[in-house]
Amino acid sequence: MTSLGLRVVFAVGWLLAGVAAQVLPRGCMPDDVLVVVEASDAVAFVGDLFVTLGAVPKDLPETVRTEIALGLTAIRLGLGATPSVLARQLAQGGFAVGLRFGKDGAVEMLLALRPGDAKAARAFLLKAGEALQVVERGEWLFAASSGAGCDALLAQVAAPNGRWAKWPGAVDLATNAVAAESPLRAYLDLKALRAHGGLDQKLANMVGAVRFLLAPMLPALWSAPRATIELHAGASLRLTMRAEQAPVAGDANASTPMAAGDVAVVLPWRELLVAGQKERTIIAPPDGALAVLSLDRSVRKLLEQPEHFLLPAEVTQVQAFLAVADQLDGPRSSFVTDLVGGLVAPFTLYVLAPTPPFLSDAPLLLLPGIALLARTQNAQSERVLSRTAQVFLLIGNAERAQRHEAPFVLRKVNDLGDGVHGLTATLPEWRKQTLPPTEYGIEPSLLFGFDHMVLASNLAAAQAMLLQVKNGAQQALSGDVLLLHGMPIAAAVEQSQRPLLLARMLDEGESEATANRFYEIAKGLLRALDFLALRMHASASHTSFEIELRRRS
Amino acid sequence: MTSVLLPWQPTSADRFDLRKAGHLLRRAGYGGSLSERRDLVRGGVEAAVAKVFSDGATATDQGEQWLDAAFAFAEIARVREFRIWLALSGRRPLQQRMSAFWHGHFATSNKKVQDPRAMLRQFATFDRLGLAAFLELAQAMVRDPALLRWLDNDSNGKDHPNENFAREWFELFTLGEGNYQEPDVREAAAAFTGYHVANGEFVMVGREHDRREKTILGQRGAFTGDDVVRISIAEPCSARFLATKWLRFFVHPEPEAAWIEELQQCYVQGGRNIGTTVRTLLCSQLFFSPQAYRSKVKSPAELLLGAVRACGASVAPKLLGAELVNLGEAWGEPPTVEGFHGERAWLSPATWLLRSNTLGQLFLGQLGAFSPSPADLLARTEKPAARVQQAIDLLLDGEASPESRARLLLFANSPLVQGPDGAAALLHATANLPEFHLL
Amino acid sequence: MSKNFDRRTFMRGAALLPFAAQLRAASWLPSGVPRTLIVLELEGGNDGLNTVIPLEDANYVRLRPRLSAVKQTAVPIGNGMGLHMSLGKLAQRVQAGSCAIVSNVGYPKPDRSHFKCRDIWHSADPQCKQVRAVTTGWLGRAADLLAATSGGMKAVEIGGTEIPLLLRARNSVGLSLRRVEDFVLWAGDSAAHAKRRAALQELLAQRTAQGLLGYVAEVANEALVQSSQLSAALKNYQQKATYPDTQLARSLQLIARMVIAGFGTRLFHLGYGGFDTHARQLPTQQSLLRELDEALAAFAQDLEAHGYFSQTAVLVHSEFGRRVMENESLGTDHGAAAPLFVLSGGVRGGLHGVAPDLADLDDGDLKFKTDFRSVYQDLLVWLGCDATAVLGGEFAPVGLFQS
Repeated sequence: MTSLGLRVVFAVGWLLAGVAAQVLPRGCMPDDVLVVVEASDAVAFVGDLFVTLGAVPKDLPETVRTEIALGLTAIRLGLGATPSVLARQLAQGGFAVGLRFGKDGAVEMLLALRPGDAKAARAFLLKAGEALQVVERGEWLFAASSGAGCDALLAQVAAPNGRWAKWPGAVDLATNAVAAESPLRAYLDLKALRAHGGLDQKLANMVGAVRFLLAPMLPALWSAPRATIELHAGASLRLTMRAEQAPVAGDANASTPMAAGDVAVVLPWRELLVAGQKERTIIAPPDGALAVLSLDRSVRKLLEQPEHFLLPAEVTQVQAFLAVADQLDGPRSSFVTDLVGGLVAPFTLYVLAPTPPFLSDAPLLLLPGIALLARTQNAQSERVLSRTAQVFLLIGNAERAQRHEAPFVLRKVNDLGDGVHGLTATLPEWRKQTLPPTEYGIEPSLLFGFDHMVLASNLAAAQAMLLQVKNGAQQALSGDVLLLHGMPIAAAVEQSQRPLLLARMLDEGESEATANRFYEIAKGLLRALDFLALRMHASASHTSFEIELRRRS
Repeated sequence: MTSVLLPWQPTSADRFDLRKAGHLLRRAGYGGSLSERRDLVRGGVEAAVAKVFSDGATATDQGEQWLDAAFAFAEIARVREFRIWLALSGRRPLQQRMSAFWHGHFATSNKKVQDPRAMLRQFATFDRLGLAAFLELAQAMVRDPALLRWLDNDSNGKDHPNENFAREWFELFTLGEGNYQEPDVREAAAAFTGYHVANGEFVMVGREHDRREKTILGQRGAFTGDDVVRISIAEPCSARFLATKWLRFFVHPEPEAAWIEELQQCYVQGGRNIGTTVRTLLCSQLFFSPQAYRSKVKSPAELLLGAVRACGASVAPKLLGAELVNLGEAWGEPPTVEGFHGERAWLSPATWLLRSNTLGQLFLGQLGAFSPSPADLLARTEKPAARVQQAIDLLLDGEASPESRARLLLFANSPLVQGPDGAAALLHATANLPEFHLL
Repeated sequence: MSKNFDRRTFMRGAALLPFAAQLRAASWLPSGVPRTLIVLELEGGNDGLNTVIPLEDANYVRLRPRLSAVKQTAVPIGNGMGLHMSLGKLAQRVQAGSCAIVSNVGYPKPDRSHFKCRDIWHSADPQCKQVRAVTTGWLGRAADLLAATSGGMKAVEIGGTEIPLLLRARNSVGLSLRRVEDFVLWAGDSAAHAKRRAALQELLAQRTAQGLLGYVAEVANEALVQSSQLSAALKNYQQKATYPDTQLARSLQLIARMVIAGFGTRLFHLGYGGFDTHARQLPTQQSLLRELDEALAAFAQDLEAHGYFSQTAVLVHSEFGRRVMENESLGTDHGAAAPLFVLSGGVRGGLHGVAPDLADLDDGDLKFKTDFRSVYQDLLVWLGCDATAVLGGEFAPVGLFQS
């Protein structure tokens, strides 16, 4: 062992002298590492990150701003340098962090750095972790929580053809070629992680609702050999995960075929995608919208073949639901074929700023308007939808009557020349001393116009969405998107802050001051946020998942 | 003449100490922390009683202040959490305690009322009038939408009388069983006709009201429901009925006849005012007598909320609400119009285990953060004997039988209560002692 | 006095020695086991006519031209009747004599509302138009009577979030149970918890206190004895049947564990929903009944293997049957009388009551032939409960059990 160790050291010395400059940091990681985080230029990245994050949001409460400033100072003091100076000292020439898992489940961290100031870096590492073993070789600095970890790193550098050296970089979806690498990225050996963490089992037992939501990702999570996560800092902060769906030729680790029974649980979910890889357009939300959710799914397909997609117990539940739903419109139509099928998938959900009710004062808790928008197939589907909506209202009113509550009154929304027509239901005027209860902010509305249907929680939201259709306000996207806008969400929170405060005190046991502070911080952060986007996209060979966060300029 | 209602005067042999302050805070509130109790002792018994009555309180009543916000949520669970939140705040101890009394007295369940906001308003009425003249409260109750609905009075009309409300009015709210005749119920039901609810509000529907002459409890006239209120609460047996219930609630589950006699006299002489009667009672020798001390079984709310308050801790009302339902005391949903079956009925082996386990989870932070933590609460010392004393001071007024004390010391001496959650385990053990289950 | 002393001494021994409790649990003989009743409610109105099918009735096919397809695959159980194909395991028990079917159960002037019918079955009062403050449930009333003779938790709701009317009682506090662990003394999740539990038991073991304090101490002590019995028995429980992975099966297994543990709960209620089959009834009912069949079969087998099946009965009923004539959506609407099942090792298996007569309908509904309270009465008598007191009257017995 000792002689081997010595030979390794000689070999490394020789190698580092010649080859090191070309070695990617991740190339130092031994084969049994399952996750590698890598940066080739830490200094540039830290710079970008600070530009993206910007200054402390000015809308935060003064005390919080002070605390953040103090916190940053404390970090600076703790690190002994500013983050950018530290980045240069530690890893000017890049770094890689590898994780490997022991048999007992313990995680071991391996560190390979190309420091700008080896002495300072070594001092920092020794200060950071007492149990850390640090070895210096040429321009490299290796660290691990055990001597064995350091040995493994040294051995790998001595034999520079490990799998991480050959591990492919991120693939650009458009060109299918290796993309320019982002400053900070992580590589995941998904196949090994699946086996290690019992992910296989979790996927197989996942409930239908979650599968429906994650449909494009499932095949990748199930079968992709690897995934790459990148963090881009620039105009916005983007965290992107890309997974290859099919095994890549030449990778010995990824050639095991999947068991047929397992595939059945996971793979059909992609059949629910309507547009798939193709770009599609949705109606753009009006200004001041809180959120938009567009899922590229066919609900009809799911309801038509529940046994194809769902676990047996869930199939029974869907059948029991349909047994009642199908009778809502009597034998004249089918819930799945005529009602759901009467709408062109995929549907889009919009959350619009709250509007106070027309007849009464605004309730203290004012709900935002929620609108579901879809294109209609034909006039028949309109009739089915209207009849079903009336039945639902009848059921709702019957329940309200049992609770001795006033019924929603249905009225027709007449065509005022623009072709927009439909139904809306309002509660009678609130004539009491107190403010009206929360449900007075709701007017279930079903409107039709311009070949579209909108089902909304209030008339204003329904009308606003059809106006967007009329104006041809469109927006192109692909895959699934959830978009949240900070400013209007903050405004909606502010509008209903008193009941929200009480809810926080009851739910969390916080004092009034603490609950208040919670909302002030939340609003401050939201106001600084232009948008937060979650995107999911599947192509023939890849699946990507992205979180993007952009500050307001 | 000796009277058990004479004000209790502390003597050097019988002082107003932590034990008595704890007793007062538990019976006239949901208990208090060690420092609250110490403050009371320092201020003396009169100031202590004034404190639980919140005499001269200037701060706004939280219940009123947040009522509009609570109104935004139409769920009975939220109503319950709101009430727990008010009780835990300890700002107006007796007001909250009295509202709990009236909730047990005019026991109304949302299971049938199906209107959480009406329940919220009923509780607010208890807060507002729970210590006023009984006439005022009773008049508010015959107009209370939740109570009218609960007892079917909204379907009590001239041509189709429903006797439910009238019967319970006599039997459970004012006179007690055996103090009225069937014809009284029928005639009172006629007097209550037309006391209806529309759109969640009380309405007097004139055309549904039976205006004919009626004979009720020996009096004759074209009585309305308000006359029934007036007549029924003037009955001597009504004073006795209420005095008995107050004695059971504040003093002892089986009050002696002499006590009842004295308290009903006090009530009648004081103009049938609830507040003055309860004040006399809470200042009395009887209230501070050894006979009253730990003479009642804690209800789940008294147990859980009491544990939180005794530690001066804060816990999320939402979690406590769910536990109260589990333990059988779902505020806003009493099982029947007779309210919660209290005292020994709270305790069976099964409920004892639930109570014990819930307390354990409370102290071990499994019902959400319990702060200050048990470790901080017992941080003063490392010595087992001192820690035991600290736990007994916190949870048991410093008063435990020698047997309990010895066994707790044995427990504290074992290596089991070392470790990070050792303090929580010691508090759990202390709360498992029979003493803690008594009010 | 001396009796009391003995009991206390014994309990103390049991509390201090976990082994003692185990020994006791192991030495319980099923013959000494008190009887237990489980009420399993099929919520939404199960279609009785497609569950217990009149195979030879021409009217059946005439009134249900499409839904009568289930006839082809039904399992014959004699008398011209057949069980839905999904109930194959139950059919075996009907043949073997450990499952009784009572045909055509109902009450006069049936209602068609889910809620009202449920209230009627729960209160055992066909006049129960509105649930009043003082309305109690039939199992609740039975629990009050059983509790008068012994302590403990006599009636339990399984899995539900609230106590149903059925269990509402005058004196007993109803409890809803999701985890059996709630009834084992809890002393933290740390490694030391077992020892800590033992220490808590020691803390609370026999005391000399008098009066109310003594009462609380005694209850605590009894709770600890029950707790250690239960945990020992639960530990000893060996599953002797393969339960399917469904919520219903999990609930039934929880009941089996409690019965076998001898926990003393004698009345259980649980609901199983989804039977409101207004449209496309065939696939829905097929999968619902299959889940029911598999869960009940495992439960019965488990109890049988432990020797408790003859002391346990499961009543399976629904708030109403469905209309005889099928509707246009391949479904059925709310109806009236329906068959019900009683599954028990002690029951007189096979068909009871009068088979439905599809030629003699009441406004399109089956006419009931057996009052549901007759079934309740048989079950209450079997439990050893004063049936007249619970039901407020006497009814013609069905003869479900050997007297």
